[in-house]
Amino acid sequence: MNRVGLVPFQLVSPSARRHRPDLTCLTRIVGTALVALALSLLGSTGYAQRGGQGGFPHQRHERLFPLCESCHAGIPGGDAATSMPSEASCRECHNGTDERVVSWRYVARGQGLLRFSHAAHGRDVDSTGRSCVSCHGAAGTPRMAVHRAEPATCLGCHTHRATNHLADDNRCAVCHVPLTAAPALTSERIAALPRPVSHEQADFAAAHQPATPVAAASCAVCHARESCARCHVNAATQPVIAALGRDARVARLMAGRPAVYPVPADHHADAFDRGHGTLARANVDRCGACHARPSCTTCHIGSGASDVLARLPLAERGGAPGVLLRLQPVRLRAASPLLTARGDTDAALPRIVRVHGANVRGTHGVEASAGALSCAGCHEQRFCSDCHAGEGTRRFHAANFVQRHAADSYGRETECSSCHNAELFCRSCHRESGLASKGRLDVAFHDAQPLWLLQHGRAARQGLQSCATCHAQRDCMTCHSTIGWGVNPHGPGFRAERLSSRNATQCLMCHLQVPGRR
Amino acid sequence: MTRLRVVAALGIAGLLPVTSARAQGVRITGVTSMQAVDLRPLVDDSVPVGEASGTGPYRARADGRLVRCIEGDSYCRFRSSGERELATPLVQDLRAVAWGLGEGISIHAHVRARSSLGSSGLSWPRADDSFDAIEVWLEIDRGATRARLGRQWATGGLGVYNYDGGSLLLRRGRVRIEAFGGRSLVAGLNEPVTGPELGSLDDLPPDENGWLLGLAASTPLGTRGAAGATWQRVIRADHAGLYSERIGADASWRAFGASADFSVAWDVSAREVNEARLQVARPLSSGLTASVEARRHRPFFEAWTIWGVFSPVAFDEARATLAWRSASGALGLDARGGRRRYDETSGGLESTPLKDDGWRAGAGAEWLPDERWLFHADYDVDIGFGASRSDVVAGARWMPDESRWLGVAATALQHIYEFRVGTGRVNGLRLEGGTRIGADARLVVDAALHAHHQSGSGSSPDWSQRRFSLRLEWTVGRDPGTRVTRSAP
Repeated sequence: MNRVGLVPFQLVSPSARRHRPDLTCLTRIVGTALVALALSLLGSTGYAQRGGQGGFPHQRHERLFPLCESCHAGIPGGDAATSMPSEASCRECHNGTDERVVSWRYVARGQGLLRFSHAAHGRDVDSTGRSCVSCHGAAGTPRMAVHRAEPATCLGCHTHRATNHLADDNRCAVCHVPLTAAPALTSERIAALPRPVSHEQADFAAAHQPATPVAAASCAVCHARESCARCHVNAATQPVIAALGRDARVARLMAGRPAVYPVPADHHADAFDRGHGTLARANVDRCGACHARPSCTTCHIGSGASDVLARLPLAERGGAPGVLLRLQPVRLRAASPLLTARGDTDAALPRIVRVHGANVRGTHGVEASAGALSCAGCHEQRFCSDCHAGEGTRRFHAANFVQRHAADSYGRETECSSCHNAELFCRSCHRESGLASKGRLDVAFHDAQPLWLLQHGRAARQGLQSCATCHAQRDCMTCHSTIGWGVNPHGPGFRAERLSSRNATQCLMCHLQVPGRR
Repeated sequence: MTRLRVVAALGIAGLLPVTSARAQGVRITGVTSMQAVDLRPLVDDSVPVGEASGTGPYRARADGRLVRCIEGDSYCRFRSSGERELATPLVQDLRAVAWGLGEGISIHAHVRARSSLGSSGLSWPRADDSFDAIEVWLEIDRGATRARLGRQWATGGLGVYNYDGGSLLLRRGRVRIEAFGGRSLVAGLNEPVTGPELGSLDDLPPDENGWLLGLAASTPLGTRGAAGATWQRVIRADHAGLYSERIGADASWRAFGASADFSVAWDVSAREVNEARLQVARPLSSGLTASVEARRHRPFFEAWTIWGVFSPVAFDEARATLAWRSASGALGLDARGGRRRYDETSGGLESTPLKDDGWRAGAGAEWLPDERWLFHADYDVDIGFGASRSDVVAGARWMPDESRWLGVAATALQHIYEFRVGTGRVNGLRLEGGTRIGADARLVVDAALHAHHQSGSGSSPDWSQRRFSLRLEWTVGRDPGTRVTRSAP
């Protein structure tokens, strides 16, 4: 491959070489240098400079050189030595007599991004009718009004599905070398490389993995390994990324730039929280692109996902941090303490992840029982028992619950007996505090209801569990048994035989005879 | 029984060191919690008949207080608040896990000791039960099979079921089938049903132990749902009958952005639904989530009690919630409400009607302006049969870092109507704070003052309370699967 770079001409005034420069000369020299620098930079963009190539005024020499090969004889054949005219060639005219003396030297630039061989293309010039001006000229312009070849010109022949130079389906590597093989580019030029159209799409950052080797080669034109390692936690282990190679210029560009982790669309799916384990097991590399192990152990503190976690990378110091997940604490009940996965109430609070929905208060029991979510995957076993272990916890209920629990108990906002045994837990406290029955009905129970005796049957059927938190069974049997006053407590539809069939001794507690024969 | 507990305690105490010596790892978590609760319990009181006005069994004192007067008795009786007493329960929990005794073999234990720091006559519930082995089991977990043997405390769709026995779990993918059985214990208490604990509080305790048999299964429903069911039967040891037989079923489904959760608990022996819920929730636009729920509840009673023969009725309830959270998650608001109605009781007199419906409503807000501050406020009102209340809680929490926090909350609670306590208002202030002590210990302290103001006619009990609690949590050892000890958060 020809090492074809830019071809800047360094113009040096003869007077400047012969005389000590005065201020005017100095200004001219500086100006000339600036022009040369500007031309160099303009050329470095990879686009043709209108009105001439480099600093050489081709068009002014149009009548002097009938053929391009007069000066660039070596280009069609790939001979670097004769690809550019020598200074001596110029001196044939610019000898100080016929024309002013000029001095120039060809500075061969290093390899740029362009993958181009004049020799290879030169062989086709005659056979296809193309010539130098096919790429370096333009229709309707003088023959010597040359410019750098434009990408669109390349696409005129290289019609590999591309609609334009920066189209997302373009095969960049056809015309470009990998960035790591283009040492002539400075960091600034790399930073200024144009962005393909695809990179502007909203979901590009979330799904840009090259699907084919051809696509991966396209990435390599503008990117080095450091480009990917800025965000990808598993960059070191991914063949596609490792194939890019390292590049110090890119490393300098990436230094200090924060990682970006857009949320893939499927993360918003209905079943993602339940099904992401399956996805992870199927393609853990996809997870590892954004997630280091700590981001998963934010939730997965149990052993359920340990096999997948072991395959995820650890975030390395100075490398991509990975998605930093923090759990959003939830309140399982209004005014109850905040809870995080670990069961702590000290709540690492930055809120990114909310595993459970807004209605978790009412549904977590169902989800746990149905196995919709693996509780043990994120919660230590004590997390459940911290709330559901009865007396062993003070976390389940809100502050001052002891004074507010009566209404909750009657309304059964939650089922008290899920955790508490009414006979023991409730009644022992009610008895100790003086609320519970002590087996006598001669003191003013239900003080505020003088007609309580007439109401209590209905109250009992509506809130019998609350009755049992204060009353022992014999309190009721004083009236409602054959050994008492014989008042029938059974409601309509009561099926004695059904009760008897499950536990006949239950009947005998009140009936000293067989039910129905009293 | 005491001898049995001592033997169990010694067994566990001896087991753990031996286990830690032979196992690859042991983790022990301890929680020491101490409370001090100052209140005025109710005591029996009386006044001479002559000091009560009116006639009949219920008369009034000069201050309006109702008293019960028995014909022929020279005193009318009532209950009033006695002297202040201080309860100071001390509870020590120890949880231990030892693993690495062989492939998939581990030992789990959770024991609890109780005591009291003071000598007050006010006894905290179960304070006299000085030791409990809440869970102690040996587990063998190998691939698709997991077996446990020992005392187990399990939770499921039917609530807590604890027993001394064994369980065998089979896994096939995400399908799980478990069989379990053993001696049934009092739910949530880990005591045999024939033990003295029940006997001391109920004069008709069960006369036979119960044997628990059960099956549980759960399976995914595609990728969007899951369902599970549990069947349990508790049989009298003499096979003369059942103490209970229940089935619980749960299902959860998500589709089109919405979720549906259904659960039902069915009392097989009584052929009654104890609890049935269907909740449907769906995120709306702009951070809004709405949910509606239909529910039917009827209390469950075990068959060793007579409570079920009183024909308790169910109530039906409809509930709805609307929640909103800002895109940043910093601000959350929600509003909730529900209405319930009881079935016909066919009891009592028409002339003395009783409220047979109820409703509840509430609203809450939560604001986290940054990582250090949390502000929250909730208001709830629940008007119903038996007891009603409205209360508001507002507070703030300051977390200068991830290891410390300080919080304050003010509460105002109104007992609007209650069968036993009456109408009143309770204002409270609560301070709480916590800090980590090193990587593996945490200290949490809170103190609260609740002032009760009785309203309505007549004086009645004073339920003002002062509360203080201290909780120390610590862990030694390491987590399974790690090579280092637990690290600081």
